Amino acid sequence: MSAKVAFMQLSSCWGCHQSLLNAHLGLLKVLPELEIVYWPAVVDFKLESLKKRQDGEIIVGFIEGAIRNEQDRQNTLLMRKKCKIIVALGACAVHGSVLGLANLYDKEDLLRRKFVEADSIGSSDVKGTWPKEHVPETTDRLMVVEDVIDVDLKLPGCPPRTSNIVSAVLYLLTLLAPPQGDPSKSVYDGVPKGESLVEKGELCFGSICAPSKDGSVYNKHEPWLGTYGLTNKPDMDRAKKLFELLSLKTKLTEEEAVKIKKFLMLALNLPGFEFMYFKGDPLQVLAKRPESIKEEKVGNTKILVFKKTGIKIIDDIIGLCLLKLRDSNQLKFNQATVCSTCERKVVDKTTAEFKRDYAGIADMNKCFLEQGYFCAGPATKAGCGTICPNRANAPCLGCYGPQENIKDQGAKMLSTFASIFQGDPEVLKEKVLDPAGLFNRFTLAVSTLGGKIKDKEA
Amino acid sequence: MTFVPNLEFKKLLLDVHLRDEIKYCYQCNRCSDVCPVAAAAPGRYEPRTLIMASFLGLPQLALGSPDKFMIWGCQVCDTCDEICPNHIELTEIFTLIKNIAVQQGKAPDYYTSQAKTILQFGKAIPMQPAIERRRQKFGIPPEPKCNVDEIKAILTETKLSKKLNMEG
Repeated sequence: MSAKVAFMQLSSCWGCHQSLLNAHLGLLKVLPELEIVYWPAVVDFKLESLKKRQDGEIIVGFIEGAIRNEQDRQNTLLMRKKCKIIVALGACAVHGSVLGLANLYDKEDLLRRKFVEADSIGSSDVKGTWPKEHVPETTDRLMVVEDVIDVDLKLPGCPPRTSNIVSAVLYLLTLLAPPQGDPSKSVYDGVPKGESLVEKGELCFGSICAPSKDGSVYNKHEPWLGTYGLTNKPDMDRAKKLFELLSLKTKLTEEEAVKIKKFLMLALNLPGFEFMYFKGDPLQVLAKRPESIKEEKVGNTKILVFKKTGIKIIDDIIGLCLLKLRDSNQLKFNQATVCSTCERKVVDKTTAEFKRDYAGIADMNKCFLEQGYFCAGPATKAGCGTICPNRANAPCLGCYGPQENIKDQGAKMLSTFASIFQGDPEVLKEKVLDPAGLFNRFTLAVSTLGGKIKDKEA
Repeated sequence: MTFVPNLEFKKLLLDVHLRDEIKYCYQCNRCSDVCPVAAAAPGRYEPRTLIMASFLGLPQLALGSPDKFMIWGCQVCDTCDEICPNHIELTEIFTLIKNIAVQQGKAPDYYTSQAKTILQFGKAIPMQPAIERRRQKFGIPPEPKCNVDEIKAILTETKLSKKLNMEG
């Protein structure tokens, strides 16, 4: 069985699709497993054919580009309707990219600049013609995909590295593999009462997990951590016992925390990939956006809201696991920025001057920031391979966007500069001609700066 | 389907990999950038793809084919471990895959032959007549006999001979 995938194109440069095609023969491994039903960059399927698909029929939908006009918005909504998993592919779809800088201007100003004032517009009889027919209405401001629909997986980068896209596709394919466990049974089926580890006071998830198809036997000495996924028929009594046992633990020990982490990673088949942000990965969400998971109460026990399996007791146990991990400070989640993968030497972390990119040739071995060049490395997510600073002697521009727990990449970079710059602040003011464009080059559309809104009356 | 993850393997991988911190892979290619084997044998060995295959639970993608070293190219020099921004111990994971493959008899001959030599002679490089003659010429006393039986006994006890599919 091959998986249906669709690639949607919004306002963008097609570069992300190019990056995927860069996999060349590497794609051969993946292609037989995919049935491409829509991909304007490569195959000639009409939009009508996509519209005629059943809702939710397509497994994965990749959306590249930002939403600049009404057609983009409609296409995005259409994709959400037809696809089970939506992947925002590339900086435009995730952070708005350089297109987002247009939000600094009013829509009327932008259109006038493009269709009336631009020098590249040819003869005078065309100049000033404002296209009204056969063009979709431009939206008031540029939006990212997440502003319009729910996004399951975010893959930033301008473009995302080929290897990143291929890894993400491979991961999604492993999600589609038929279950290898037997979800109609629980691991505890056939284990006599009082003989399971959970009844002896140990964390063992056998009651809510599926055994393997060949009926792997439950080992009484080793806790079951969900190797074969979750079951549809939990052993209710012992699942309740597990819930009780967990709720009584005021603070998790390191060993218990590791058990819970392993259980979540195995039972939910989490990817363990950090270049992408996957909403279905509660560990990643908890580490990066803890405030986005709400609390609720089951009886007298507080848990975090987790609704995925459709079986209340399993959801409750996972929610409780997440709450315990959060509250006991045992969720140690490593995160790196571009600086962590940079080969340049950092000595004193200060600079007395500010240079523009084109001024002189940078020292290949010294940190860009120390040399006075702007480099967004400290606030940019790792994953790109640090090609610009390590290979091209070019500072990081921040195309992978901020780590999920950094709210605003530009603000973070501003504060970085404020703390390392030793010279006269007035000089900095003079030299940085376009602070929004420099610090928020790829993320203005999602930044706290927002955009310009003209007062209608004025 | 080629992409059915090996769940038992994923469990073993987590036992090695997840000790305290959760270390996700960035696929940032730093490991392949610094790997001396990858530099010497481009296209035949690449730690990044191997770690990807491991994380996805697809160890079969990491095992070699005649024209590729794949997992067997790893010399356990630990350069990648040191450079990894997320401190992933790649070589630990590769060793795990190697061990599993050896047990399943999927290791290439050049990999197991060294272990077989130790099992047979008690040392990695057995004495050769030429060296013996040279020692005599320089007046170095003949090489002391090592107790092969004892080494054999230890290695048999540790089930090495079984893992290498050579009993005795």
